[in-house]
Amino acid sequence: MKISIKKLNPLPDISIGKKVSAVFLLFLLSSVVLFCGMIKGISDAEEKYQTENENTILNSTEQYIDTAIENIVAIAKTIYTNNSLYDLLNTEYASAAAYYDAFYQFQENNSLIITENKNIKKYTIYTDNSTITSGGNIVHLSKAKDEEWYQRFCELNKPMIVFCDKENQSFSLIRKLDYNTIRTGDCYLKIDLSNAVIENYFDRLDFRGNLYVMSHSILIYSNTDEKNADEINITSDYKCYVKNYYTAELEYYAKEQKSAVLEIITRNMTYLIPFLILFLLSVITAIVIVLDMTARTKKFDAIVHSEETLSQAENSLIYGTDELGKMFANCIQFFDRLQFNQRELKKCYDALEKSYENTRQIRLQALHLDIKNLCLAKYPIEKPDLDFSEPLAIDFEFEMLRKHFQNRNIQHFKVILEKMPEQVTVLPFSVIMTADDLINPENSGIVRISENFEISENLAISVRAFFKENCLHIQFRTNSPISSGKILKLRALFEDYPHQTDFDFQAGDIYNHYSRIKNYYGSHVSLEITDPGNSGSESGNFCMTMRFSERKERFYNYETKT
Amino acid sequence: MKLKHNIQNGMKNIQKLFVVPLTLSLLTGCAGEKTSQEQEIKVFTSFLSAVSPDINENNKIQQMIAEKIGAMCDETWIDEKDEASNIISNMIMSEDYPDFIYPEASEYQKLRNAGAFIPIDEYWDDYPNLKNFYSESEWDKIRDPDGHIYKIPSFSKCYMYDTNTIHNDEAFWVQVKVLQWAGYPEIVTLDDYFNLLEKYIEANPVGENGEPNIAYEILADESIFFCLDNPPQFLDGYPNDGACIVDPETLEAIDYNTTPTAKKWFQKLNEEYHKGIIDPECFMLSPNQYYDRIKSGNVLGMVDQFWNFRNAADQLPDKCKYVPLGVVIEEGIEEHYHSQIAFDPSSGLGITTSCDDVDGALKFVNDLLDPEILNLRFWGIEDEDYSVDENGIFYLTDEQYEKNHDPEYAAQNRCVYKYFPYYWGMNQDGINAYSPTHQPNEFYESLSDIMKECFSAYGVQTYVEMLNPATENAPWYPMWSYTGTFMDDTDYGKAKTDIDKMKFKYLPKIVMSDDFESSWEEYMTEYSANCDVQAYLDELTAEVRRSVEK
Repeated sequence: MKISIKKLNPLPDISIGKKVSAVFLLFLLSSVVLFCGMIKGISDAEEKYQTENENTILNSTEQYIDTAIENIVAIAKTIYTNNSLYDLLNTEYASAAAYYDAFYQFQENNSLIITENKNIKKYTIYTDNSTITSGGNIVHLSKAKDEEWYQRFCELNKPMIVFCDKENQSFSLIRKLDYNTIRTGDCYLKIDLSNAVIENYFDRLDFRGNLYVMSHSILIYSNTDEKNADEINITSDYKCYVKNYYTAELEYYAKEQKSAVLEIITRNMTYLIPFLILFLLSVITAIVIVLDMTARTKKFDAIVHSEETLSQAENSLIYGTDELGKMFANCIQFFDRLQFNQRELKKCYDALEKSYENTRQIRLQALHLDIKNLCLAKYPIEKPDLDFSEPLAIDFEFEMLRKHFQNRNIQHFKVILEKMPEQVTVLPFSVIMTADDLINPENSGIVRISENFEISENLAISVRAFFKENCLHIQFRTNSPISSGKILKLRALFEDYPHQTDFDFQAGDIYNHYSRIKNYYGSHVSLEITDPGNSGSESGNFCMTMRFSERKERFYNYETKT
Repeated sequence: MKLKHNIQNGMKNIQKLFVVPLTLSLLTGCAGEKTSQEQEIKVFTSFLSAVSPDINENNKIQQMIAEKIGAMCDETWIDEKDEASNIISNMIMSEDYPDFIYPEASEYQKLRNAGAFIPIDEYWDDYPNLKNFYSESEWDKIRDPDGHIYKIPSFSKCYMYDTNTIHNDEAFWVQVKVLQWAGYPEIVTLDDYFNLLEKYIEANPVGENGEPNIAYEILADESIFFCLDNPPQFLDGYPNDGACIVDPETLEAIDYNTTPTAKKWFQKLNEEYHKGIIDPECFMLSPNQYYDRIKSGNVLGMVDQFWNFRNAADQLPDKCKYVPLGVVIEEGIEEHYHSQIAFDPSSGLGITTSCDDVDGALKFVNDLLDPEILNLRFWGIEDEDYSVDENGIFYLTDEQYEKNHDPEYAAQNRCVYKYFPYYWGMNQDGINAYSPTHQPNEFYESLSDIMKECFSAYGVQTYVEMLNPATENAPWYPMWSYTGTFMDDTDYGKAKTDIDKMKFKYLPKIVMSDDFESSWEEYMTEYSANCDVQAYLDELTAEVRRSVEK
């Protein structure tokens, strides 16, 4: 499957630092959202759990007390129907010793062993029998008559009640002992439930919230610091259950400790601290990574642009062994290869230029030679040792031109050499051959230049040389018709382009002397042809100006193009 | 047993190695702090069958000791709501024990039968403090029939001599205000004692709380009967052998229940009962009802062992505090109420089979007996919890005294490891007592003004000095520890049970009887008829002679 680079990197123009910052921001936001979601989830779960827990706790406490009271009721019933006890209580004793004797027998028979129940703190039998000695579990009723439980029992006039003792914050079962007839006065059984056992059981429920067991304004159990009912404020958010036990109404209140978000966080700090530390570490790690990446990238950028050479240490520092480092290494390697190729290319260019130069020189020599041969055959040369490859003074060339026109019997010619610097030179025969070419009646076609041609009587030509703006201008005017093809050819010949390889050398070609001029002067020679009809000079109104600039670079400098 | 980097408390009784992961510490930024100085602290677990306030987590002395010896122990005490027997039974059923257990005597044998303890003597050669804690003959007293030792009684080793300032045993006790009222009379005989009470209650029938005073109280519950039955041995000048008196000449056990002194004692009680000096309801009282009466401050005197009523008397006003009197039946008899702490072989600290580092546990116990550690345990930190004068005598400044009596300070800063072995008596330096409460100068300074006045009147500085100094325990002492091993399937075991039942049945009646002589005669007749006293005494005599021969 083809994956475009654009898809892989949709934001290629944003810096890595900004991209990573954006990722961090998203990461941070997602973490916050996740965290809040977690807290919300935990809070909801806790709330549900708390409600269930409150119900469970209320049920447990109620069931425990229910069971404890029913057990005690059963025990009370056993005592209530204990005939030995009635015998003990019904006897009138002659002395304390006699009572002790009877009491000893009663105890020895384990008559009340059933009362050894963990829920019972104490049981006491109150009797009006004045002959018994108070102590242990059997005491005179006179000691109870001022007590609240006794008054409450008389007031309610029930066979059995559960009494809540405000002072001791406990409750007791009271039962009148009247199963058998008692001749010695009323007897009552009072069984005190063990607060310690109840508290121990409730404490073991390990309820985190507030749990209270009350009877009206009497606090029986509290798992908080409040030890009196007055100190407790029962609000509407308490779960409540009320049950009546033998005239005593017990109220159970439970309220789970509502966890605030902060508390949930605090409670889960064990997990949150590592989470936060890991989060912080990831941020720091990412910052370090970004800083590392940007620093290395900048350094790399600077190195690339300054072309400085890296030390081994810098190499190690920048490259590393990670992907970025490998990429840098690859880039550097690629860059090195490019530089190598550049150097190779330069060498090739140099070789090519040299080759061009050699070719040009050879071609120039060939052109000089061709022109020389042509001139030797065609023109009388006053200086047999004339060097065709070296320019000669322009006035000498113009003098030869004038003579040539005269020799050719041209009636209407002008050779004007305006005043100009003395050092101005032109290639030998370059002006003569151009003029000769322009007046050639075969100019419209390809004619061997070496051949003499007939001069029309009407032929007129003027050759004017002037110096203007540091350039030598040689202007040819003629009424000889020039073909448009030739004009195009001439313009093409004098176009500037690097290597005129399109023109292969051909000895005796009519354009060779133009090629010689262009090859010799290169870009320092230009040709301007005035062609009013734009279709050649067949009208006989032709003007061509050669302009030679002062500089003499001979070929185009390719080095600047590298 | 657990190992930790930092000393911490609150460990559970599982046996694991805890090494706080360094990684987590690094993550939470807590690591690196004192890492090089941290050492691994072994944390042992224990169940000690007594009620005691817990110490706080990171208790200062506990940490110091742990840093010095490389181990600590989480002490689990009985909660008042707990039944020790249930806890032990659960442990036996689950076969999951803490590293150390110090059970009650009645529970020790259960644990031993369940194979809960390891034989200490197989491992102790490298732990000289522990091995030499008792002499060979003392170790032999607790050696099991299989020849091994499974427990270390912690409270039975005295260094040099007894430095007790408090008489923890039996005596005739009287409220200090009674002595003050009478002008600190010399009380020698039983008559002196009751005369004092009679005179005081006649003059002060009602206490400061508006309730009638009780001149003399008796706890005669079936479970604690010694307040009534064993004074005859003390009245005759014998120490608290409990089960009998032993004639040191003939090495014969004598039944103190039937001696002439016994008869005089009960006759005196009978007289006082009928005079209304003795609480008429006393024989019907349960122990809690008895303690409630002590707490009321209205009980002027009684015979009891201090350990039994100490808690009840703790919160009494200064003038209602009790002073021990060494009452004898008649002048000329030298009393022996105070004895050196008896070697109690009935229970001890055991290392359980659940302990996976027995050597570590033994080393912990061994190191706790090091003199420096003993000082840390019982005196605390020098210049913080106690000071030392130029003679090397330890003392407490007022501030230190206050701190020592502050429960919150103790919970945070004191760690006695009181159910682990220690030397009572003198400190290992030979010039101080083993703890501040036994340092005479410190003890006297801690007394209330009225008690100082009382002690000054009698020319003493401690409760113990109100009695004759303890003599060296006889080889058989105490015989009650031997009778504790009796089972009913032996004639002497059955005789002991019968004697106890007979006493419980008859002695209250004798005291309450309108005709003492006939009641006594009936008691004697029934006693000799129903109890094989001779078998009982023969066994005790045999044990006395065996002890002497060891």
